[in-house]
Amino acid sequence: MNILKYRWLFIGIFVLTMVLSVVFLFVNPYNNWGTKPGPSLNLGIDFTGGTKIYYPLSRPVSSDEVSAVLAKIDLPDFKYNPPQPNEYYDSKGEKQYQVTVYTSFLNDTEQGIVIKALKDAFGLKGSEKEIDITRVDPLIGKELVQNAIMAVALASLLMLIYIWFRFELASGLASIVALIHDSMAVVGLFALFGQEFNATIIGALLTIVGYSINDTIVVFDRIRENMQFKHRDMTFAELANDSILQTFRRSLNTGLTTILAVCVLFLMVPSIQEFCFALIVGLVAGTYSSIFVASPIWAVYKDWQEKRRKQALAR
Amino acid sequence: MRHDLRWKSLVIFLVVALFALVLYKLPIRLGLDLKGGIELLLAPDYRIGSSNIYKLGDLLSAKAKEANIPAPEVSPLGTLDGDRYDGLKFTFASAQDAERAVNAGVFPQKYQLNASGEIKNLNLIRKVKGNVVELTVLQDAGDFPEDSLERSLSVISHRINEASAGMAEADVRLDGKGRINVQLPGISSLEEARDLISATGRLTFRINNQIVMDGTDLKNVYVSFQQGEGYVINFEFKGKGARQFAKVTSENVNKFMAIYLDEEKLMEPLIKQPITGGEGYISLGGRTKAEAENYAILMKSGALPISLKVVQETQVAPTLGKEIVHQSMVAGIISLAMVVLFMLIFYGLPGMMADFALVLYGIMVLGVMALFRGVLTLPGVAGFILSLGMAVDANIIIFERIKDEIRNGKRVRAAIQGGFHRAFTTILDSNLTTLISAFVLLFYGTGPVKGFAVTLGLGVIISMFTAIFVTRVFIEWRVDHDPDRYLKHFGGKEVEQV
Repeated sequence: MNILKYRWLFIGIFVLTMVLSVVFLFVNPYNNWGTKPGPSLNLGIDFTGGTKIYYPLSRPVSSDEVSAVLAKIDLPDFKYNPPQPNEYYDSKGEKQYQVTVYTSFLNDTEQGIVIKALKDAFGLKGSEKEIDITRVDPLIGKELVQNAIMAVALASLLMLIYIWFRFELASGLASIVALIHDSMAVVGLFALFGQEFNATIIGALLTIVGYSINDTIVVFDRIRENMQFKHRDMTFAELANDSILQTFRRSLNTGLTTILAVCVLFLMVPSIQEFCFALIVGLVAGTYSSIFVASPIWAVYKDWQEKRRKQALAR
Repeated sequence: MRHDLRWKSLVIFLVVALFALVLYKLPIRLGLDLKGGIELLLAPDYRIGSSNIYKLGDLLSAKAKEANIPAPEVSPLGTLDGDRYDGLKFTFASAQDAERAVNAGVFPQKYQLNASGEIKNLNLIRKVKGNVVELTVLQDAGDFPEDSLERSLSVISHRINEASAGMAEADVRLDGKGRINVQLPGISSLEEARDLISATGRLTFRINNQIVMDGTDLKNVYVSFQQGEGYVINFEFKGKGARQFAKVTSENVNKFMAIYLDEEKLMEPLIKQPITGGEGYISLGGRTKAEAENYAILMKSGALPISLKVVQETQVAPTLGKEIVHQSMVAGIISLAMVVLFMLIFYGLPGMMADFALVLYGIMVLGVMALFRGVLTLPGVAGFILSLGMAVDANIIIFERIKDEIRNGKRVRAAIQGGFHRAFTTILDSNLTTLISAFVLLFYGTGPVKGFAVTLGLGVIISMFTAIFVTRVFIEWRVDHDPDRYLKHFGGKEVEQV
């Protein structure tokens, strides 16, 4: 079987995926195809700063009902997004209601005022302990973004150096391209679906980076091994093709077990569904990219390099 | 049985028994997201109190008047928080007036405010919006002692330890970026947390359980080394306090004087002689420098030296945490069962051996977490479940290699040897790159993500031990008496078909 016969097709698909991801980053349903002002990604308060309150309720409410309560709160610079009521079944199978309220960053006093307004309007189900609150100062959010970018850049650089040292520069660069592919696929899909992007998703991205590189290295390891037996008239594409076929069962089996494990988590633990969604997308992309992105790019580059070398010799 | 298998199985048995024991004795600490509680990030609060804000407003609008600009309407900026405002809002009659005021230097970037005897260096950040000038007012960090944050940390952890009968897991630490991170499991309202961290601590001196004086006039406390005494705590009272201390010590020579912070006794030195000059020292009888310094800090920091405000808060309801623990345990068991089944179906006998190794892997990862008092967070649980999938990866690589070897015509014993040997570099290289990302995550990640990095990194390291060493011992132990009989278990059947 000759998979790499279609190497230009795979590179074309890769380029298309990247272009689509970048386009979705700026224009997507979440910002109404570019017509809504503000960020094009649904950034969580970890990045933007703000307060998120999960308020438990004893009855279902509408978003407008909660909006009306918030509208009456008189605080300077108080902003809020449309509240999101939702319901779920707890482990005892009982139906529970709650509403998620997003507001601008509140200080201690302001937070007290908002909670009191909700309490006066909807009563308190259980004790004060049942309320879940997260708030992040906008300054901290900025720091988080910088940290995340630093982390991704540093991890990529260190891995590139390691692969350069243990394999060759071309493998390192091709692996990093595969990593960019995987992360962009996740970010692009999050943009497309308007899923909330927060600090844990950054964590998921870094995990995917760690997993996908693992996958890619196994293929490059086989390529490294097969290089010893490469005869002169064999192209690098053929060599890469053999290596891919030899590691194919492993790639598929490992990918399947891991994705199945995370799927179970996705279905069983609703509170980390977004995190698991990012992981699943990333794992699929990572398994795909180790075979259909990293190796074709490597093969095309190496064959091009070889051709130039031969041309230089001929001259 | 082969000689080396005997001691290898013994090693495995001992390691697993050790971790099982650790797990049994030391339960794993659950993160706040699993157990409920409150986590606060406290940063120095450089905003100034309302009376000083109003005073500054008056001074600045007087300045505008001097520049012949009609006096603006002055109001505080933001909501009153504690006793503080974010700054000031000046509403001028027109946008031109506002611009003239700015150009005339009514709003400098730095301002020295004389607040009843104390000079406050203020940084003013202005934002002009038409006829309104918004001025954010922050006191300069240089006005506070350099060790303010360390001292606040020490007071807060002291308070929490004192108040926490059932809160052994509370954790207070500096985050390395000029902030204090406080984790209070079991506490889940901001009011309760505030009581713990922001009430003023009071230093008192007592003789015969009678308070004889307090620490308000304590000016200086520091540690020094004295010949023959070891490390001692030097202290210095000023003004009224010095006179009172002289009187108290003169009347009570050869009695013990207890020093309390809030209701906890820090130490109880003996008064050897009257201390009249306000300056004296407490000898500690051979304590280490660190211990002496800790006492000195506690004495010095009877009150928080700097106000702190909440810049990040995560409050998790305990019931929600319980729910999640339940869900993720079920998910973990199902995931494990699926991975085990998968290996059994695809790889048969060696797959079963890998499954045994996988169970040991689970015990060891959790054991190491417990041993190093790691905190298991929700993303950590996800990391653990993900690592189950990754742990069998090494085995998949090895088993595929063994199949290759058998296809190349090797006998089973040689194929097993060759398979493990050739798979080793692959596994090493791929796992080391994964470790790199886990380490970066550990250093750059925050909160729960850090917990995830820990489980991921540990998982990678331990999986190499179980997948390579343990699985091999299990397999050899099972097939070594007559390896070739097991040919079909290692993919031999496919060879026959080819």
